[in-house]
Amino acid sequence: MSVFTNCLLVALASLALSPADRQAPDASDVVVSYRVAPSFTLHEPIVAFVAIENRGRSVARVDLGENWTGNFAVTSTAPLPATSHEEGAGGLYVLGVLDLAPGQRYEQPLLLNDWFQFERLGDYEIGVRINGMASAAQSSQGNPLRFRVLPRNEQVLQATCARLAADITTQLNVSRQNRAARQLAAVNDLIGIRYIRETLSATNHVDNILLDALVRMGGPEAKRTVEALTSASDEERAAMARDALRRGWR
Amino acid sequence: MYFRSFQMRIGRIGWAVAVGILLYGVLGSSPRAQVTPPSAPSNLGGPLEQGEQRLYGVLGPLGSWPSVDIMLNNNSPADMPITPVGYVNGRELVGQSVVLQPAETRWLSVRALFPENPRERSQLDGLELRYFGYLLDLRTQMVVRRTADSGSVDVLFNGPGEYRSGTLNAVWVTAAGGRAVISLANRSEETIVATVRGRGRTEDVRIRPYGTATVFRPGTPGQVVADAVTVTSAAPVGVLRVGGYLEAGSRAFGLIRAFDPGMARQAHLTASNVRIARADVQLAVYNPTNSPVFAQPEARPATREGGAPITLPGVVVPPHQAVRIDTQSLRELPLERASIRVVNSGPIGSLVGYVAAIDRASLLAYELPLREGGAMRVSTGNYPWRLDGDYSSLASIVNVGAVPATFSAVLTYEGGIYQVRPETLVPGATATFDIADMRMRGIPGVNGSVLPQEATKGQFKWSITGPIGEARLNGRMEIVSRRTGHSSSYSCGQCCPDSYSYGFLQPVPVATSTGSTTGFAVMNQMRTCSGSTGTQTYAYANSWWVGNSSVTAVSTRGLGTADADGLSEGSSAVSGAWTGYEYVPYYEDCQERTVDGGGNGQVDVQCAVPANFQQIGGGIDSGGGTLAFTYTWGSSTGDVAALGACDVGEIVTYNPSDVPFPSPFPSINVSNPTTLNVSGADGYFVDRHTTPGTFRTPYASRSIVATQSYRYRCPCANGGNWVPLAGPMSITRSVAPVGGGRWAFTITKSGSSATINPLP
Repeated sequence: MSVFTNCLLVALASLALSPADRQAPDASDVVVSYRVAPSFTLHEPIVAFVAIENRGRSVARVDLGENWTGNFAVTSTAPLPATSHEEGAGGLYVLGVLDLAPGQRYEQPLLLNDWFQFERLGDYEIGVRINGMASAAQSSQGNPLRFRVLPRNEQVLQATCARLAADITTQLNVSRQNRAARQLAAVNDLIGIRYIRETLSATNHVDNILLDALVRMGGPEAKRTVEALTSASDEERAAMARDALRRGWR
Repeated sequence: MYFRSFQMRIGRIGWAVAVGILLYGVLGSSPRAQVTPPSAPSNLGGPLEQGEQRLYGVLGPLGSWPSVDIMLNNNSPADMPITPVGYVNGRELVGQSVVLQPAETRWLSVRALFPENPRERSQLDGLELRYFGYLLDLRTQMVVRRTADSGSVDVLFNGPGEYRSGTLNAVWVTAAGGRAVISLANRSEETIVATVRGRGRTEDVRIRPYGTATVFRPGTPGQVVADAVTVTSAAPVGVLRVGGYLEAGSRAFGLIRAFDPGMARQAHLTASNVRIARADVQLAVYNPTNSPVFAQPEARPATREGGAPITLPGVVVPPHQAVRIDTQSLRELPLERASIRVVNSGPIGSLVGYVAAIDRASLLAYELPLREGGAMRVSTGNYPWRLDGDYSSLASIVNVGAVPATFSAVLTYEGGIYQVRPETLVPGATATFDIADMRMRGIPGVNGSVLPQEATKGQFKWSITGPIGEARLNGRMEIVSRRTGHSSSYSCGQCCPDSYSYGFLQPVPVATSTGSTTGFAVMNQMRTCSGSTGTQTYAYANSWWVGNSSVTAVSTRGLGTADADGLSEGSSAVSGAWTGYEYVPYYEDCQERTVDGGGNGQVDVQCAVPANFQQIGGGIDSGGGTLAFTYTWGSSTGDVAALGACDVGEIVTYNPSDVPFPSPFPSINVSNPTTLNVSGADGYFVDRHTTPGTFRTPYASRSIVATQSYRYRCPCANGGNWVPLAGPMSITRSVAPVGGGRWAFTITKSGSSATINPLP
C-alpha cells in the first residue's frame, strides 16, 4: 500500500473520529525531544524544533494533527498573551501522521508565536506536549523549553528577516516558502514590515500569509504597504489587498 | 575495536606465552629454524610480464583416482589456449589443447584432455597446464574422487613464481585409524632430495626428474590427531611441490595445503564461513619455528553484522609440533556458520593452520584454507561458480582487518555480467552470497539487473576498494554437490585489487522535475589486474560541472550518490570529477596510486504539474454544521513528490454584501477572496467548510452563496500563473424554518450537506 493511499485512508478516517479516538503510539518506543535557541531578540520569531525518534522494533505511528501542528499543546508556566487567530469559514489542511520505521528520526520546527506573543523581555519557560501520546514518551529531553528574550537588536532582526525573505523568494519548495513566510509574518516590527514589503514586490506566492500579517500588525507603515498593492495589475492580488484594507483599516 | 580487543587478549595471554617458553625450556629444543626470510623479488614483483606460464598440480600415487575433473577459469580479457601436459612417473604426456573464451569457466574430465592415451591418463601422478599470458590469468583446480560416496579431494595448481623459499610447511588432522598421503613432486630435470621432518623423525626422499614420491603418515587407532611436516629441499626455489589428502577407511577427502613461510605477510590466520551447524570442526595449528607460540582461536558469526568474538581455548604450540584445538564449544553455538581467526604471539610465518568441517550425517568434508591475509592482493578473489545439477555455490568475504573495509563483486555468466552492490564490512563481519538464492529471488544488482534463471556457471570476482590503507578482506567459494560427492573450496586471489578503469553516472539521463531533487549514482567501472571487466564501485565526486546552470544544479550527497535539482524545463550536460585508485604489482604485494576519475551524464528536467484532481467520496457531515471533503491528485510525471514547487489550493469569493456574514449567521469576517494553498507534493487535502460562532437571533430565512474554485500554480507551467483544476462550485449556507417554530442551518456543496438542526 502506498504512502499516499495510507495518507488518504487516514484522512478519511480522521473525519469520522474525534481526536480522543485516535490511537496513541507505544510510548516506550517513541522518544520526543525539543530544543530551542537560548535567546532571541525582541520581535524575532521564536522557533523551537521537535525531534521524534522511533527506538522500537516496529513501525510507530505519531499523529501531529492538522497541518503537522494541530496536536501540539503549548503552555507557559507564566501568564502570557495568546496569539489571536482570525476565524475564517474553514479551509484546507493536511494530516500530520508520521509512520516512523525502527530507528527513524523526524524533526520539524515549531513556530511558538502561533500560540503566544513574546512581547516581554526576560526569561520564558514553555511546555510542549503532543496530544494523544503518553507523557512518558515526551518529557525525555528539552522540555520545558527555556529561552530569554533580549532587548530589540536591529541588526539581528534585519539578518533574520533577510534570511527569511531570501528563503521565500529563492526556495523552489512551496512548503519551505510557506514556513519562512509564517516566520516572517511573526516579526511584529517595522523591520518585519519592511521585509514583507520587499518580499511582496518580489513574489506573489505567499500573499495570503503576508497580507494577513500586515492586517494583524496594523499601523500606517503596514497600511501603506497594503495600499500599494491595491493597484497591482494582478487582479486577484489587488482584490486581496482591497479586502485587507477593509479588514484592517476600515 | 577488534584490534583493541586483540591487544587486550595478547596482554592476557602473555603469561601463557611465558609458560609455553618455560615448557619449551624443560622439554628441550631443536636447533632447526624453518622460517626463511623472503627472497629476492620474483615475477610477481614489479610490472607483470606476459610469457609462457606453467601451473602444476600434484595428483599423488599413480593410478589413485578413477575420476579426475578439472576446473578452468579464464580471468584474461582474451581467448586462452591451454595445453595440458600429464606426467606418469616422470614421463611427459602432451594432451589436447583447450581454448577458453574470456571470462569462461569450464569443468571437464581430465580424460577429455587425453583422448588418445586411455591407459596412461589413468596413471597420471601430476598435471601441468601451459598457456601464454600473465601468471594469474588462469585459475584452475582439480577435484578427484574414487566413487561418488567415498569423498572428494581438491588438488591445487601452482606456478614457480608462487614460491619464495625451499621450505614448505603443512598441517592437518588425521581421523582415528586413518592416514595422510603426502605427495612430493619435482619440477626440474634433475633428481632432487626432499627432507621430510615431523613428529621428531627426518626422512630424505629422492624424487626423479618431473616425478613424484609419496610419504604416508599413519594416524593413531582410536584417536583423532593433529600431524604436520616441514619439507625442505636444496633445489632451486619452486622446484619442490607438495600436495596431499587424507584417508579414513574407504574415504579420501580433505586437502593438505603446503605453505611457503617466505610468502607469509602477517602472523594471524583466518578462515571464512566455516560450517558449524551439524558439523564437527577440525582445527589444528603447526609451529615450524624453534620457539613456542601461543595461539588463541576465536570465532565470529559469519554474518554481515559480525558480532563479538567467541573465544576458543588457547594453546601453547611447542616448536615443531602440531596441536589440535578443542572446538567442542562451537557445537553449542546457535550458528550456521562462523568465521575463524587464530591470533598468535609468534612472528610472521610462525604458525600454519588447518580447518575442516565434517558433516556429521553425510561425512562430507568441507576443507578450507586457514591462512594469513596480510597482502593487499589477498583482499581479492576470482572463483568459479556452478548451479547445474544439484550443485550449490556459496561465496563468502570476511573482514580480517582492524578497520572497516569496502568491497565489490561481479558475477560473470554466459552472455552477461551481474554487478553486486558494493558493501562495507566492519571488522570480523562476513558477507555471504548464495548464488542459487540470488538467482531464484532475482536480487537486483547495482544497476538493477538480475542474474538470469538460465545462468548456471561463471566467475565470481571480487575486490577490496580503495583507498585500502590497513583494510583487509579474505574470501572463498564453497561448491558442493551431494549427489556426486564433490565438495571444493576455491580461494584464488587476483594479482592486485581492481583498478579504476572509467567513471560513469547512472542513469543517463537523470530525469527530474522542476522543483524536485533526484538522486543518481556516481560509479567507477573497475578492471581486474588481468585487464578483464572488474567490479563497479561507488565514487565520491569532489566537484561538478553543469552545462546549463539554469536547468539544473548538481551536488554530491555522499559516497556513490549525487543530487540533481530541477530548476527549469530543459536538458543539461553534467560532469563529475573524483579520485580513482589504481593498483599495480609491486614486489611481494601491490602499490596503490591515485588517478583522476570522473564521469559524464545528462540531466533532463520535466515540468511536473498536478493531474487527475478528484474528490474522494462525498462530503461528510462531521458535526456542528461542518462539511468536509477530501481531494486528491497525482502528477503528470507520475511522481507526486515532484510537485514540491507547486501550490494546489482554492479561491473562494463572496458577495461583498455578505462579508462580514449577515445575521442570523455568526459575524465572520472572512477574507474575500479567501485563498489557501498546500504543497503539490502533499497529493491531497481535506477541505473543511465551517461556520464558527453564535448564530444571531431573531432567526430569519437567509442564504449566503460563495463561489469556490480549485487550482494549481507551478513555476514551470502557464508562466507560473494559476491553472484551474475544478469549479466554480457553490457553497451555500442557509438558515430556514423547519417547523414547530424551529430553525435549522444547512451548508451544501456538490450535493452533500451538513446541518445544525435545530439551531439553539
